[in-house]
Amino acid sequence: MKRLRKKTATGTLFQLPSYLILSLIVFLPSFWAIFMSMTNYAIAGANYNNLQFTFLSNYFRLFTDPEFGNSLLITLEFAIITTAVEVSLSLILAIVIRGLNRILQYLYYVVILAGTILPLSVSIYMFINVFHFKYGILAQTSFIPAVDWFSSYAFLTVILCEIWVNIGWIFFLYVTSIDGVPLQYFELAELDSLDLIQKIKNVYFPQIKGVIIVTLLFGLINGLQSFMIIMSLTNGGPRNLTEVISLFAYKQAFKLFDFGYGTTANMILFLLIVVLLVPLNRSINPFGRKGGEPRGEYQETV
Amino acid sequence: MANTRKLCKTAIKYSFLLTFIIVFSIPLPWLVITAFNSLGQTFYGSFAFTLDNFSAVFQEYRLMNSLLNSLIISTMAAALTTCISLMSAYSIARLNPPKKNSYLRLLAFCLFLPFSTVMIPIYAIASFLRLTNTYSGPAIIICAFELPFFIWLSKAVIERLPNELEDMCQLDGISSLQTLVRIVVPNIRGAITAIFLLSFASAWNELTIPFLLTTSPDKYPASLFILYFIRENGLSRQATYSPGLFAAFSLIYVLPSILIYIVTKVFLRKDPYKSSVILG
Repeated sequence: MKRLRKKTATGTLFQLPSYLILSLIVFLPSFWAIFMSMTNYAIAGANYNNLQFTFLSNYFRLFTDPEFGNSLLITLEFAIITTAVEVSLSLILAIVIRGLNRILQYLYYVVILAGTILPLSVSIYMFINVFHFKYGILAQTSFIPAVDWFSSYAFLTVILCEIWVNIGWIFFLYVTSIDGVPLQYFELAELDSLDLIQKIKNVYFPQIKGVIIVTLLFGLINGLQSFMIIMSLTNGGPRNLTEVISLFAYKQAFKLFDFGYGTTANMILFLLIVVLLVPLNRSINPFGRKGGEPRGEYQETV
Repeated sequence: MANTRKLCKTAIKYSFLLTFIIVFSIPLPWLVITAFNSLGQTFYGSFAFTLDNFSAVFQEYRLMNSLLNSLIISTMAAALTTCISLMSAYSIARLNPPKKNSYLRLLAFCLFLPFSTVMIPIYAIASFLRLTNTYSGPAIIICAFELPFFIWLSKAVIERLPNELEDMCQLDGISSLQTLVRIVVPNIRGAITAIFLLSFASAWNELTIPFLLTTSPDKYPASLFILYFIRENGLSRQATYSPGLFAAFSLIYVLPSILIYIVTKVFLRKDPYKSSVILG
């Protein structure tokens, strides 16, 4: 008995560094965010050293702020469009590429996974090189009309960059989960001479439904909190056309020094993400399929 | 009739694949071509092979300094992450600490906590602790956000180790720390290498955290240097920073993360405890 108690004490001792660092960098800021959103905390400007508890007035101010309403809409639009394109495109690619030969497959893997493996800063650098209005690759070609992409088509450009960066890991998830589908399903489908659309409907979809849900939720979470790409490509411009919530909060905090108000905007973003985390938590299991029992609707259609 | 339909479908399939690869690979060759081109940034037509851009990178103080900063920060972050996650994972897997399940649940919370929503309080705390414009600041914060994932990972690795060796250690009265260092660590060397390399790569690639914490140019890591270079200079053909020079710098900066990716994917396949490590 004595030894057991000693053992658990050592266990806590071993966990101590992680507790320390996580509470300092993760828990404390998360709880402090709630407190900060109810104050007029500022590190410079008029409210510096004039900390007042303002309770919910930041939230009321936020809901009557048309700029915030605008950025909320843009955030949702951005997240939904990028997720829809990423998930459908990578699903189609993962299915189509299976039929190609080995060398072509590797070529596609390299191109698709590039955005995920390369550092974000280099991806952004390359994207600016593609779309720059004067020196960009598109500007130098003759068959695409020269436009200033970052001001005329800012939203489209930002979405393209986000998709290019994020599609890799979603594609990778689909490839691994399709590899996990038992071969007899495909053999049966071959025997029934199903075409691609029937195969998608009856074989792929029931088998990897769980992964599709997970990637949808992950993609939405990723799109909602996207910050660096938009910040460095358009910085919210032109006017407020690409100003997502995280960028709105960043500008409030670090340009106008209103930390309290910026944190309030981020709290709304956090609540949006928590709403998505609940179903994600429930459906995270399908990564590993249970047992050897075949399942799915294909069973019934055969 | 059926033949035409089939032909049509094949045509659609291959035109889709072709369009996709053309659109998606536009950004990639530019970097390589510009880096090896002595004529600057003309993408079409004129190309003359040279290595001058690379030798120019090594003579430029600010570029090398930022690479060094990146190296320092990511080594610190990776070392911290590896040590701390190993200790916590060993504790969870073997030592049966109190409140184990709530600890794991907390880790899951940290894993999904979006960084951009806690950016502002983290900056406030970091500036209170005098962590801005240092090497240790970004290293500690990167480590904190990497920890949950790597604790889960090393927990899975340690749980797969057979228990008998550690039982022997207990019989001999060796302390838990000694058991971890002398028995567990040598047995999962490959997995530890992978954990160190993966955390090094993600710290090396990290952009948002240094962006938040670092304002003085001589502390910029390479990722931040690239970003600020874009913002200051656009793509203008300045005498000091030609696009060729900068493309070469980006290639040098990209090299470690690609190498680490290949190493973890290919060489560590042989390690018996690999499968839980090489998921991502």
